[in-house]
Amino acid sequence: MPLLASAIAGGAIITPIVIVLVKSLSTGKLGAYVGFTLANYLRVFGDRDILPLLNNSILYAAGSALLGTGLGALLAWIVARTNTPGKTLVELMPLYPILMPPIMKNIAWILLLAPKSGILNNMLQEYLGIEAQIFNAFSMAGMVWVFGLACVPLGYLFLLPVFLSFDPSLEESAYIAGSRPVHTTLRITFPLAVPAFLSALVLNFLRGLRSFETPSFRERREISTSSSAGSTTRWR
Amino acid sequence: MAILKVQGLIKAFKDVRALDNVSFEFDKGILSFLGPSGCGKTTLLRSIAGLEVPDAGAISIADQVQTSVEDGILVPSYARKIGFVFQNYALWPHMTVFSNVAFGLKLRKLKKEEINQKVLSALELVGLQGREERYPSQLSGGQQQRVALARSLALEPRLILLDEPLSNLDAKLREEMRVEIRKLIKKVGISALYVTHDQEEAFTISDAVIVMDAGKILQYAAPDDIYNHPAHSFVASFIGHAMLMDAKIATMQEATVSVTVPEFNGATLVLPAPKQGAAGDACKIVIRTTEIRLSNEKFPEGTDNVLEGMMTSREHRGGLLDHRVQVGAKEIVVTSHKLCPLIRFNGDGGKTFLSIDKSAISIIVDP
Repeated sequence: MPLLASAIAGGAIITPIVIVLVKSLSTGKLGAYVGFTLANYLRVFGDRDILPLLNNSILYAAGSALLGTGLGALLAWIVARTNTPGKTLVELMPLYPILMPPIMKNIAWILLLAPKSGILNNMLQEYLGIEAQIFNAFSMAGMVWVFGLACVPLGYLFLLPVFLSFDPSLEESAYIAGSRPVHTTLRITFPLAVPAFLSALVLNFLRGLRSFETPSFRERREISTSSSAGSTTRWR
Repeated sequence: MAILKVQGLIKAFKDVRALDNVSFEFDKGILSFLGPSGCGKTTLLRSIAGLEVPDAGAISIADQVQTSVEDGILVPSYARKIGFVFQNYALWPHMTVFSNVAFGLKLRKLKKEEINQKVLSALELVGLQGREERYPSQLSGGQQQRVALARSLALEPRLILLDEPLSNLDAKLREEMRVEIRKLIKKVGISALYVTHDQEEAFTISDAVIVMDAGKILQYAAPDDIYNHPAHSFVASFIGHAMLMDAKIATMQEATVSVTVPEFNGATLVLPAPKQGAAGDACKIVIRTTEIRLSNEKFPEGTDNVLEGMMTSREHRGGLLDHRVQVGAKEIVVTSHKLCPLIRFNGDGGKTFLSIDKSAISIIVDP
């Protein structure tokens, strides 16, 4: 029975990957055998733009993974380990982004942060008289912010059980040894959460590399990332 | 100078009073808090460590006020200069044995050589030299406990608190460790508070014992006194190996008291006099059954407290023998060693005489 289950799951996941791999080695239409070739790869990696594209991708993925996992970890710590008032309200909130369609989130942030038409920039201009467009949803920072928020749930979900099951006596024995609360958090609490934090960080980084929805809303070509560029060239 | 002074400590968790007006003073040596789970002993220890904030009362260590609800004083745990050994050891799993012990020393900004020397001598004290680079998960439970002890002792605290430190070890190791912990604490010469629910452990390890129940101190005395003269019926029943019975004071003499025991068919027993009480008062008596003598034949005239009963059975229990004797409405189980039986027991039961020494009975007149 487990064999059958893994066969079905494996088949469903592996088959499309194999088809895409085979197709990437061929220039003919799917099904028509014209011999294998590396021409597609040579074309992609021979492109002058590939390095800046990869650079952007990594910057984007690493930035949003760090931001999102960090925020998620902070929220998990607040919910599990502090007596912040109203934390029962906050308990489930970090999970809401999962329920929201990614496209909707992106449109919402563009409405808020677009350089010319964005609500926040307009408010700054109207109430504070700031002419410069401070926020830009289409900049690298803007994209990292938007996708970083999408990374929060994973960070939160990974770290919440760690902080919930954390043995308070580990911190108490540090206090007894003369360590103040901040020092204790930095030297005892956080190091013990590092393994879970790294798992979430790596997963979020990989999600960032393959993420498409946020960069696809870019306006300026020069900050496009490889994944979105790769996907869009096909449809051009 | 009292190393520890606790005054009027009260702490409630929701409706339960974990500490109900606890006051005592402690000078030096090893003091145990003994009581069933939920009696407040751990809450008391944690309050002394500053890990728990009481609702009322005051605590001072070495004549310095550490906690005083009335004066709004609460010295944080990290400034109390005490040691605390946790039930689950609470070693930091991401640090080596060396770093665990060195953690508190590094905070004192000592020189590196001094830290090294202090860590190594603390580990040597607990017999763990050569294991500095191990991680806690690579050590056995007993070794982890030793690291926790070394970590506390390395800081040379004013007072060391131990919260059921042996309860996670197996029975054999527990017996070894309690002797060893006592030796260690005596060798270092530090004052210690020791929380346990195991009376044998409390008696072996400490110079004085506080018996607690429902957040109250019932008795504070030397282990021998608690065993021989329980001051409270709860203490008597908790200490074990004793039989608690209702009785009534018949006559009071200067040094002795006569009580009648309804369950022994109204027999009269003579025992040392209590501090309070008068003829006619209801009281409880505690008989330590290990000190009852049995015989087939009558005891000579003048023997203390002779009763008559029927032996119903005799059971072997390892190296021990349990004799079951019915006296009136009460069954008494007298345990003796197989090699020195208290009685030649022929056939399957019969008339048996019991003699209970005066000193084996205590009286409790609960207020």
